[in-house]
Amino acid sequence: MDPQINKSAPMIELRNVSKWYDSFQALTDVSLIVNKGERVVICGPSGSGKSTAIRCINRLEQHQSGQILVEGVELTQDFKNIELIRREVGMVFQQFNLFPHLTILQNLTLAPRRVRKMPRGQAEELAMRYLTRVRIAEQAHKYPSQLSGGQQQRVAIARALCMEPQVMLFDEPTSALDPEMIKEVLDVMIELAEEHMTMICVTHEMGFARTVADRVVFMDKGQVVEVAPPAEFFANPKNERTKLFLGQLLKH
Amino acid sequence: MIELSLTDILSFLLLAARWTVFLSAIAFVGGGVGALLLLLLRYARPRFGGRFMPVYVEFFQDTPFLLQLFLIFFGLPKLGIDVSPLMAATIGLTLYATAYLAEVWRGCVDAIPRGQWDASASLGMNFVQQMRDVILPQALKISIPPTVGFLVQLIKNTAVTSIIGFHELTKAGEIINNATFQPFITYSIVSLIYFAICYPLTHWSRRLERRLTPTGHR
Ligand SMILES: Nc1ncnc2c1ncn2[C@@H]1O[C@H](COP(=O)(O)OP(=O)(O)OP(=O)(O)O)[C@@H](O)[C@H]1O
Ligand SMILES: [Mg+2]
Repeated sequence: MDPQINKSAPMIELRNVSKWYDSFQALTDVSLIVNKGERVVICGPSGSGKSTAIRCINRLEQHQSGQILVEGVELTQDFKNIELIRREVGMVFQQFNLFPHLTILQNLTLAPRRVRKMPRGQAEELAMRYLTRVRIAEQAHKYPSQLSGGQQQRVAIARALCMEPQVMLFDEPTSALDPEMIKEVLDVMIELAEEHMTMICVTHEMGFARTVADRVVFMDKGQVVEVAPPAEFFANPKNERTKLFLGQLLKH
Repeated sequence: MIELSLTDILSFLLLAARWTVFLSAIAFVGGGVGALLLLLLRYARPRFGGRFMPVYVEFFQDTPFLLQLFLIFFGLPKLGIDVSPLMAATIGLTLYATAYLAEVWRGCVDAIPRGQWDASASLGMNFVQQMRDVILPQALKISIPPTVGFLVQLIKNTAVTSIIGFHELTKAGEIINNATFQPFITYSIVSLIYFAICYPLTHWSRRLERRLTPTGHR
């Protein structure tokens, strides 16, 4: 591994991160520390900056002020740092974003082969191991369009895991799914959590937050408003905006 | 009026059709290379290339091709550069093809959803890997019908170069017609030759498109 990585540093640290889209400020002084093995759920109303915040962590978006550190390595313009960090950080998207022109197996082996220069046989072995873990090994030779939404999302999780990341980011992984498929995806995520994978998960699945999260982060208008363990967060939220949000969530 | 046998007419036209094919091929290949250069400039140097490409494309799309040809054929000699009809036709069609292909291909790359860039970037792939393994294979597939469609346009547009005296299929048809005064027969044959060149292309593009659509196992 690269000597820059500091194994005793927090997994992820955001220090006063701000981000603008042109003149619109999407993040304001966001600070957050996620330790190794910790599971953090981020929630908040639409447009509050949840996606923007986690997309900054692997540099899909660029922040303009403050610092982001992954295992002590600061995210800068430097390509080397960005590539190093992206290898450590896996991401799962709301829309799955599988590669439609490749089979499931090829979806999983592409990055290990190209980025980690793994021989094909070894990459396929690794891919089959993760496909088995998400219980979808028998679909390996199909194309993404032949799978259901829930199956596609499990493939997307396996694809990210094939790079053997230290952290997994999830951006509303179940929001695009039909209700009957949500559980199969959440089950895979719960298993990951039980294996002490460090996870940051944007989700409105409050049941998941309650059982899996170590801490819940509430964001509103680009700011972190409240951070608390789930029991405390749901039982007696301190901030007025949190109360309002939870009240609305419970009504549905 | 001169009596010409059908074989004479046909062989005269077919010989000229070789120039139509040759000119189309040169302009298509030249235009393809030019378009790739424009796109490379656009993505690698967005500040300059991103501004230059639209200006170039707009100019060639929003002025008549005939005028572009006149500018080259009559304009360049005024600047002391002598151009033959072949030269003018080649330059004109190549510049024209560059503009259209650049625009078509840009549209195909831009049509690939942002999620594909996000996902490949999040897996640690660099720009070249993203392009080669994720974006271009998908863009290539959707680019085939419009690219071949444009090639057919290009072949038909070579007829315009007959106006500056370039001896291709349409010009040859005109010569035959002037000699035989049989416009109906002459131009029917000319049309059929164009059809015989273009139809297989259209047909082939449909087949290729179907083959590149992933449905089952490969
Ligand atoms: N590429 C962009 N350009 C301009 N504004 C953007 C862009 N992406 C997001 N925004 C704006 O930034 C704000 C935060 O967006 P973000 O997607 O992070 O919210 P979110 O909390 O993830 O919302 P949702 O729950 O709807 O996914 C929103 O107001 C959004 O309109
Ligand atoms: Mg979002």
